[in-house]
Amino acid sequence: MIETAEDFDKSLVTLSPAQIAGYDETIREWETSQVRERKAS
Amino acid sequence: MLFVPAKSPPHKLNDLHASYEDRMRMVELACAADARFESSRVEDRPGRSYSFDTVVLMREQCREPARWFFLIGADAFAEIRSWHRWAELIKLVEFIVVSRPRRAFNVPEGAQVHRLDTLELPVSRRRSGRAWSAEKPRSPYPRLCGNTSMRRGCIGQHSRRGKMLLMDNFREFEAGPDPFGRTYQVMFKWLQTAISIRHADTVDVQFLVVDGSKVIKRTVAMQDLDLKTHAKKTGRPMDDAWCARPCGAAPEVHDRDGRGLR
Repeated sequence: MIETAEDFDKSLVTLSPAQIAGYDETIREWETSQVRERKAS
Repeated sequence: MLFVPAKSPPHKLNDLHASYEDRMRMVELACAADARFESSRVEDRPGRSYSFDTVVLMREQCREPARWFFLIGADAFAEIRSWHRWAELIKLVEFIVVSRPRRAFNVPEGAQVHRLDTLELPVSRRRSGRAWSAEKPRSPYPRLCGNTSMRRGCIGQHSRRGKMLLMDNFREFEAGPDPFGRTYQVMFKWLQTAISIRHADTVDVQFLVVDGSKVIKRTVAMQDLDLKTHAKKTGRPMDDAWCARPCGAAPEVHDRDGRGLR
């Protein structure tokens, strides 16, 4: 199941610290909206 | 169905890592998948969280006569004789015992047990380990992001390639549309937290992007140092489930042809 290093080279993407922070902020907003929506229903 | 996180689990006092509030929030999010599910703070009370006390309290609060069912995993039920006032507890509820792989259990005399063998889940799962087939997979997890619900359940995020919808279930979600209006099914394949040959000190997450009969692998990595810095700054727990989600949000996971891969 684990690919060779060559396979990894073809598809591997490393996120930058800014990307991690940005995506996490998006996730956090989504989580908050889901909890709010759930409580309101 | 009420989901009741234990505030102070008697059997896990020494090895519990996530706080009650964190676990409560995870349960709230999970329950958002189904209107029949409800999270409960009934164990948000001083002292240890004994199921017997909780059941007694809930029965007292319920004014209508009712049958009470206690949903429990086979691994936990196998140890029920070690529970606080277990002999009294088994007279108050009927147990629905979810089978676990290679986990047998005995039923104490007097207990009413309904076996649920159709939902066999490992206690903890780090990798899906499931090969993709053309047949639609039977996911044991709530499908939150189906065609009809994705626009309600997902939030939009604009990227260079157009609007991208963020998944609300990292194990299986729909991505897109791409600049040509196409959408793709994406499945979580595995998560690796280890030192490996080529890229030490990272958390790697692989997704399968499905385009008709074609399956493309996308592996996204986050460096340990970046994760630790982010966790320290934000207080976010860097668990497996969290790590998979920002990786799944990466535009590269959504780009069928690999454009933009560095």
